[in-house]
Amino acid sequence: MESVLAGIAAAFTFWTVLSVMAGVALGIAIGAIPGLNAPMAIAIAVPLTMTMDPLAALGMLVGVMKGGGFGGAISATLLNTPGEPSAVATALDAHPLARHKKQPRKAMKLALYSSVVGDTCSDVTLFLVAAPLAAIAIGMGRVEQTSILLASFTIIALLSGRSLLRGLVATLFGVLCALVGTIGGGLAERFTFDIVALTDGLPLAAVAIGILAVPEVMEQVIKGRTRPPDAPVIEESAKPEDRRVSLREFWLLRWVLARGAALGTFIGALPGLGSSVAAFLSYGVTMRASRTPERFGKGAHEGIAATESANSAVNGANLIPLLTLGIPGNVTAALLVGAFIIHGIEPGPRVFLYDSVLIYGLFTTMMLANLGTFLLGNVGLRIFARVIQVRGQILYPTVLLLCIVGVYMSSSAGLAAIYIMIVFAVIGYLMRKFDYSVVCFIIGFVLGDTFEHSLRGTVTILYRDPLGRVLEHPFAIFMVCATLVFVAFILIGQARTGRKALADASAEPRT
Amino acid sequence: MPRIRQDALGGALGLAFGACLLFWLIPRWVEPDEDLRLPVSLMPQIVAVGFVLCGGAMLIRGALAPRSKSDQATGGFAQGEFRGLALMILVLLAATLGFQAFHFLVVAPAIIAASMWMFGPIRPVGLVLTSAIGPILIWVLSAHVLGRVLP
Repeated sequence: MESVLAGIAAAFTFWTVLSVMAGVALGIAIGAIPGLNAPMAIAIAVPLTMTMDPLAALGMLVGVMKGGGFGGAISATLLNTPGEPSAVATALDAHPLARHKKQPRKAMKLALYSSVVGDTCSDVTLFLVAAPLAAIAIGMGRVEQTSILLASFTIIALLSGRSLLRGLVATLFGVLCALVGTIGGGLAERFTFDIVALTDGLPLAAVAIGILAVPEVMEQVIKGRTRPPDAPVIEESAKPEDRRVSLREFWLLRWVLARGAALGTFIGALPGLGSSVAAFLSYGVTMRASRTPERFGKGAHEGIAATESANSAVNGANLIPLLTLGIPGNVTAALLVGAFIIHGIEPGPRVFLYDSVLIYGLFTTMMLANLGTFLLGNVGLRIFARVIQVRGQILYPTVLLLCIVGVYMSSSAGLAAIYIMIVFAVIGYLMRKFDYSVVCFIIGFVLGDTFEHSLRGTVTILYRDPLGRVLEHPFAIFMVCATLVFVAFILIGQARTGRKALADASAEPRT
Repeated sequence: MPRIRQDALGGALGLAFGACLLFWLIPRWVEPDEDLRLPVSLMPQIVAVGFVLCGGAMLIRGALAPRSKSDQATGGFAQGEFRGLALMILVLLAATLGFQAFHFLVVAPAIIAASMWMFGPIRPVGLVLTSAIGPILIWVLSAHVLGRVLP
C-alpha cells in the first residue's frame, strides 16, 4: 500500500504531469498524420527522454502511445485515410457520419470518448492483474522462461505477418543483431568486425529508428507526396446537437463500449495480435449483434464506439505481458522495453519487487494520460484537425532530421550510430518491400539478450540428463505443446483457405 | 515477382546466410571465453541453424508450390524507386560525413533542402524558410532545452 501511495505521489509532480500531457499532445498530432504513427513517434522520443527522470520519461512515452490511439481517428474521420492502421475500421462509420450526415465534430468526439473509455478499462485490468501475475512469474525458472519466450516468438511470427517462416526469419535476424557486442564481462567479442563502436552492441535507438521511422520517411520522399490526401469538402450542420455527443447518446452505447473494451483488453494481452485485429473484431461482433446492421457503414454511432474502444483498450493490455513476463507483445511495448533498459530498469516481474514505486507511478501516469487525451482531445480538436493539412514536403524532411538527431544523442557511438541507422534504414525498407515483419525483428532484437540468458541457463540445467530434467518442468512442456498445437491449428486453417482459393481460381472461366 | 517465388529466393538466401554464419562468420568473428561454462558461440550457432532450417523450408515451399492466380506479385521496385532510394542513402551518407567537418547548423539545412527538393517542386521561399527554421528549432530544443551535444 505504501508503494502504491508513493507511486501516485511520484506521478503528481509538475514535470511528470507536463511530460505526460506533452506526450499525449505529440501522440495525437503524430497519430493524426497519415504515414506517421505512434511507434515511430516513440522510437524518436526515446532518445529525447534519456536525460529525464525515469517516471517522467516513461509517462511521456505512454502519453504518446495513448494519444496516438485517438489521433488516427481524426484523419479517418476527415480524410477517410486513417492516420494509424488501427483506425481503418473507425473510418467505416466516422467518415460517413462526418461527410454525409455533416457531423464531423460529433464523429471525432464519439471516437475520443470511446477511446478514453476503452483505454481506462484496459488500464484498470492491468492494475488488477499485473501484480498477481508477476508474483506467479517470479517463481518461474530459466526453463519456463525459455519456453515462454520461444512460444512468444513463434506466436508473434505467426500472427504479425502473413507467413510464419518469414516471421521466424525476421525474429532470428533480430536476435542475431542483439548478439553483436561483448559477452562474459566484456572479454569476448561477437560480430564487432574490429569496429570499436560495436563493442557495446548495436544501439537500440539507431536500430529502432532506422528500421521503423526512416524507411517510412524515405518512402514518402521517394514517392513525392507533395500534398496531403485530397481532402473532401466536409460541411458541418448548424444544429448544436450535431456538434456534440449528449449523455443520452453516450449512455445508449454502454454495451457496445463494454464489449469493445473487453475484446480489446483480451486481444491486447496476447502477444502478436494488434489493435487493428481488435478493432475489426469488435466492429464485426457489434454489427452482428445489432438489430439494424444495415446502418453500419453509413455513420452508425455503434460502429465508431466499437472500433475506438477496442483499439484503444489494446494499449493498456499490451503492458500485461510486458510487466509480468518482460515480453513485449508489439512494437510499442518493445520500444518501451528499450526505454526501461535505457533508464536502468529491468522490465519483467521483478520490477514489482525492486521498483514498485515506479510501477505504481507508471500506472498513475497511464490514468493521467487518459485524462489528458480527454481534455486535450476536446479542447484542441480544431488544432489537431489542422495538423493533418501540413504539407508532407515540410513534414517528412523535418522528421528525417529529428531521426538523425535522436540517434546521435542517444548513443555514445556518436556518428557511427548514424551510419548504423542508415544501414538499418535500408534493411527496414527492403523488409517492408518483401513482407518480412519489422515487428518480429524489433521484438527479437529487444529480447535477444534475455533469450540468450535464459537459454544458457536452460542448457546448463538440462545438460546432463535432458529427458529426466525436462520432466521436472511440466509448465515448459505444456507451453511447447500448446504452441505447437496453436501453430498447427492456424497453419491448417491457412492451408484450407489457400486450397479453396486455388480451387476457385481454377474454376473461373477463361476469357 | 510472385510471392511464392519470393519465398524460394528468400529461402535460398536464408540458407546461404545460415551456412555462411556457421562456417565463416562465427569461427572468424566470435571470440572464445574460457571462463564461461558454455561456449560463447552457442547462441550464434543456434541462430545460424535456425536460418538454415527456415531458409530450407522456404526454399522447398517456394520451389514445389503450384502457381495460382491468387498468388499476387509483390515486392518489386516501381520505376525510379530504386534510383530514389539510392539518392536518399547518398544524402544521408553525405550528411553524416558533413557532420564530421561542419557544425550542425551548416549541414542540417542542407539535409532538409535536399529532401524537400527530392519531394518535388517547391517555392524558393518555402524551401529557405523550412531549411532555416527547422534546424534552428531542433538545435534550440536539443542543445538548450535538453542540454545535449549535437554533431
